[in-house]
Amino acid sequence: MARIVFCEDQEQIRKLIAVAMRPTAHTIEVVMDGREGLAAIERIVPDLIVTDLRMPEMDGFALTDAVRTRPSLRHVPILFITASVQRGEVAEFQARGAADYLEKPFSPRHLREKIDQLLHAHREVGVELS
Amino acid sequence: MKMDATASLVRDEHHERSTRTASLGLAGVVLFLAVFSIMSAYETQKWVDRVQSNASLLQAYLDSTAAILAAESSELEFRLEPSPATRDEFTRANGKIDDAVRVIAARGDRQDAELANLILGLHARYRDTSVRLFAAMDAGDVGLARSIDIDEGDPLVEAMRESITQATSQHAVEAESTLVTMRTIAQLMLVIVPVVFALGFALMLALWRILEGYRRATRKTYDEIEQLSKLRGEFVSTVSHEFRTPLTGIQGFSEIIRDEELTIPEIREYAGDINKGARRLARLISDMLDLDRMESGLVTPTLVPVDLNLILTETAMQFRMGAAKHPIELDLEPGLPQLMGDPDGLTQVATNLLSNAIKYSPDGAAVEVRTRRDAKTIMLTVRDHGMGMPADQLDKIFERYSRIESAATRNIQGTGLGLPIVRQLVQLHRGRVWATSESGQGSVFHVQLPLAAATFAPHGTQPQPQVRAA
Repeated sequence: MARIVFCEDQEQIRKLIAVAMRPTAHTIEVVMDGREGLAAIERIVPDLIVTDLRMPEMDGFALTDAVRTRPSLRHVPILFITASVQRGEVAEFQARGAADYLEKPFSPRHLREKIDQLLHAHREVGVELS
Repeated sequence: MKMDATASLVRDEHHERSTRTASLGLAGVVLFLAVFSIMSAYETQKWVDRVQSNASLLQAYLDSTAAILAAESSELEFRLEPSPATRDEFTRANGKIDDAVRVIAARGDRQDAELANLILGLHARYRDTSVRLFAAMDAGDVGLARSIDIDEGDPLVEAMRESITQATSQHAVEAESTLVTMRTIAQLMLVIVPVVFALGFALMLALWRILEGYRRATRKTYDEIEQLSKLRGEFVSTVSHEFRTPLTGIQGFSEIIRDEELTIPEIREYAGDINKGARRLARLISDMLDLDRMESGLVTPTLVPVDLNLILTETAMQFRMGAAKHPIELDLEPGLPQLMGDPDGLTQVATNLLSNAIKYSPDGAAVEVRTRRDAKTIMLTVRDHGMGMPADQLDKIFERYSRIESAATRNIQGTGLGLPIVRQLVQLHRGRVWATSESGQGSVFHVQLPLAAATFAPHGTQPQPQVRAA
């Protein structure tokens, strides 16, 4: 069981995420943009952050930068959800600190698998580090 | 957008041809000026050579005359005072004549050479007389010597001098006329050279300016194309983003319905979400196609007398049925004259403006629709009581996909194409649309439609009243 913060500005997709995550045992918080996301992340200190890239107020990149500057949050993996991946962008995502990315439209099952993968990988790294 | 690019390319091709012509012209002018300069220098050189050779020939004639005169006077001296010294002097002076005359043959033409030969012949005979003169003098026969000198020598000297004088004066006349011609040519050159060069430079300047104009036009076309390709890139990225959002709902909820155990109400709810996404996609596609057709000038509106008040009343009625939360207040000027317009297009203008006003108004806030006749136009205003817009956004909202994204607008659904479509339609009616707003005070959309809009001008095509596009 893990704590996950989702940031997504589109209402329909927020609802989809909530429904998609219902079968899992994770505790989720779904917020509307990067600014609300950052507040939630600081409060909860989640095991994983899933964020849309294009959002008003604070976009996914800005959120990532903000998270990476906070020592307590530096190691939280971030999964990008993006509307389109163009050539060369994957490298940029990695450079900007994404653990992985998911392209819209995505399958709810695929979202859950990716989340489990990331949580698992991060737990192993955490064990090695400690 | 497509048409502009094609026009640019056609213009570019034309420019390329014209640029080539102008460049060739420029090269031609430069070549002509160079050839003209070389020819002028060559011609001047030729005339200078001619004057110089005339002068040196005249000099040779003068030298010959002087040599004959010297021989004549030394002969006279010898005769008056015969001595070995005067005799030597005479012989020496006599010898110089041949040298001087040969110079004439060398410097002059065929005629001069003939004259020189004639003189050399006369001189040979004169020398012969002087040999006999010496013999007579040596023999002390003064009478014979005198007769040789006067009867034979003097006529020969006279003949030589006569020929030379004649030729000299003839050459002097020629030299004079050469100088006169040369002076005339020089004076003409003084006028012609500056004129030719001035004309040449003016022509060069004109051609250069033409070339410069073409260069700038080519640069502009290049910039336009670059801008166009950038816009296309942005457009593709935006469209892809706009399409993927509803598709995500459609794909996700349908998968959940397929794979999970759900209650009937849940299935209904998710099916509703799928339906919402599908409708949004459909609207996006039709709006995009509409806008693209209008921007490409493919839309020719039907032109009929239209009662704008009626269209607004009907549109408001549609909205009242669907959006009961927002009262729509109509303030329509009675007896508004009919305008020539496209009923479907104007209905869409009304629909999009009302839909926009309702979207951005809080529940219960009224939307006011007003018409007024204004000299030669009809003014339509749609006022909402929403959050308003910052001044720098007032023009931007009529661009594609330029929805103001902020925390306050994030839940407002839209394709981002409604207002661009309004602008296209109003422009097809030769009208104007703009927005005014104060943040927090709501926005007002103004549409000005000309009453005498009897002529449609969709993107430069000829007015085609009462004809609908196939």
